[in-house]
Amino acid sequence: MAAKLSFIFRIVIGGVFLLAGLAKISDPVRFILTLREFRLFPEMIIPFTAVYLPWLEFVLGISIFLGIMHRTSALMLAGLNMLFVIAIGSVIFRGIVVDCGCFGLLADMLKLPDMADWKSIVRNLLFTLMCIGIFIIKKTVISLEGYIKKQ
Amino acid sequence: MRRIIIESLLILLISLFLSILYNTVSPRGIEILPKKAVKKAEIIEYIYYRGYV
Repeated sequence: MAAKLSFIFRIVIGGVFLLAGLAKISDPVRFILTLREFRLFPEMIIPFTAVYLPWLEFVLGISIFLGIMHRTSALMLAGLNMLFVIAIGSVIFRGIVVDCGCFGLLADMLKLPDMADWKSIVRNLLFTLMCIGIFIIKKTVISLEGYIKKQ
Repeated sequence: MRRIIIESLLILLISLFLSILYNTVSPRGIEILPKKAVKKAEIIEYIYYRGYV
């Protein structure tokens, strides 16, 4: 039962971050503008962050989805989600109205709500809990790592 | 614990490699470093000065 739950979490989290990463990779300039609006990072590191962070999300998403190094990826993603929660929380605290930039172009295409508000904090906390679940439950079903070990 | 550290480093490095590769190759790539163009010119000048070309 626990293994199946871990599998469901993996599909959800892996799928979400894979798509979120791809959406941001396809439009780095938009992500730069979003990061600037957050007024959290020094100008020097914003372009690098805008290029690196989507790829990190994409790699973590794909590794969780396929089930290779998925426990480590889930732990890293939980940490990343907590950073997002802190960043969005600080924006709300300072009263800045800004796009959260979580889904980039995908939010426009699917007309998803993508503002940095309490809903996005709750969503990120939910993702964090799922990631912790993946990390805690050691067993999982249908994973590339398991398949390789069997061979 | 050691496994987690090694795997995290691996994931961070793979992401770094892919991001730099994509940013260099893709027409959507952006300037990561502020003085990238200047550095490039300096390298070309250095190669010519040393007589490698």
